[in-house]
Amino acid sequence: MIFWIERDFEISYNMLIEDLKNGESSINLSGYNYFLKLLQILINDYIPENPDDLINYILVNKDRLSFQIHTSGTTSTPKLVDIKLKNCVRYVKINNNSEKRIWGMGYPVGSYASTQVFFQSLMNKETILYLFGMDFKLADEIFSNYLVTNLSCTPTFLSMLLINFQKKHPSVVKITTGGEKIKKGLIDAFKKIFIRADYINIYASTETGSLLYSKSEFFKIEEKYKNLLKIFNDTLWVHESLLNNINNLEDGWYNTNDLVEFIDNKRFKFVSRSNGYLNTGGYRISPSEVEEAILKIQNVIDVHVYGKSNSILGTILCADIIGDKLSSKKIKKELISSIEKHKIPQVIRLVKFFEHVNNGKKKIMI
Amino acid sequence: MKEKVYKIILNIIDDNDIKIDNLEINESTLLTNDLGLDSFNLAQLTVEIESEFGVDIFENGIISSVGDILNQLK
Repeated sequence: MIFWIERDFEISYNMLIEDLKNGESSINLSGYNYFLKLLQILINDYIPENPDDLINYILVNKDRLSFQIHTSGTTSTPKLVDIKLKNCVRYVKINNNSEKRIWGMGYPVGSYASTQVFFQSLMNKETILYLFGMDFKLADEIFSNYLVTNLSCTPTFLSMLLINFQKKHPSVVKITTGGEKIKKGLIDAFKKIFIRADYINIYASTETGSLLYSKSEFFKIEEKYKNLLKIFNDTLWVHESLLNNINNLEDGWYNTNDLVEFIDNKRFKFVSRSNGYLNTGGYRISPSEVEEAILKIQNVIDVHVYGKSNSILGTILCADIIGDKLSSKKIKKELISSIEKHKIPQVIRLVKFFEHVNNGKKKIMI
Repeated sequence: MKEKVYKIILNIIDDNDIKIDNLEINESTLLTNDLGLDSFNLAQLTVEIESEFGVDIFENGIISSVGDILNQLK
């Protein structure tokens, strides 16, 4: 049984067990190596004899096991968050169907969403095709060769697939997106390619795990969560009993800083974040971190980084810059060496002054 | 209109320092396959075209080629 497919390499479940026994990876693949290490941390000195041993060990010990994920904190410094395994496998469903699924993972390893896909597949001894970072030109070939049944990715990743597909892919029966808001136009568009696929939209975060499920861009709080989730000041709050190990609570509640907008008395959609963070293409970005990097560029006098609603990325990162002898191209080239690609503003305007709101702060356009 | 769209696309290729052999743009040119645009470049393209023409080209579905953009703007 194949456990992991990355680029042209296939790792079987038996190879995974051998690598766990040997304490090191037999093959150098970034995605596979990440999850091998995660499993090593989880099971510590336990050595499984076979895949079933490994799965049973995880199931029996899920309440006491945890691992850590890097996430952006409320400052620009990334922090480690403890993830309780029981939260991670909260929604794992055991597939009683004898037909095994192929999971297309369109999230980067290290993200919370990728661990959800990982455990869902592992606990059912199914196969993960690691798609993140793929060459989209090969999208048709990859989906035809591997017959992906379940695709999990951000809406941005889904858009990129759809832009590149030339033919239909009926093997896909379920598409799950998360990590950023989705627009109805994208849901309608994928039905022309993935003609048999159902759709699920998930709200999840590193701090809270998966919380809300929907078949559209709108969510509602399920009856079982009515005392554990609340909307206060148009923001989603989560009771501590549902959380991973979080410190900054207010009377037992965690402020997700995710702003919602009700469309009727029950259903709402997520619109933006209230703590200044921007979610672009599934990446959480601190505008102040980007501003710091831009200010280090020679001849930059001042900068204002903000987000603007966008059909591809959910929110596009923009920068208004005051300075001399600068160009958008020059600034982007300089930033390549100082910050990650997704943190480089896509739209850069050279301006003489900033628009300001009444309180004197730079205007944030969303 | 066509010339303005071509100019916007060429500007994005230059702005992001995308290297293309034998760069040629026509209606059948594919945005990702032929021009090498990634999701960030495509997002920039939507902003630039919306700024020029007032139309969000991805609002109503998926755009693959330069011709698809021109059709959205008609």
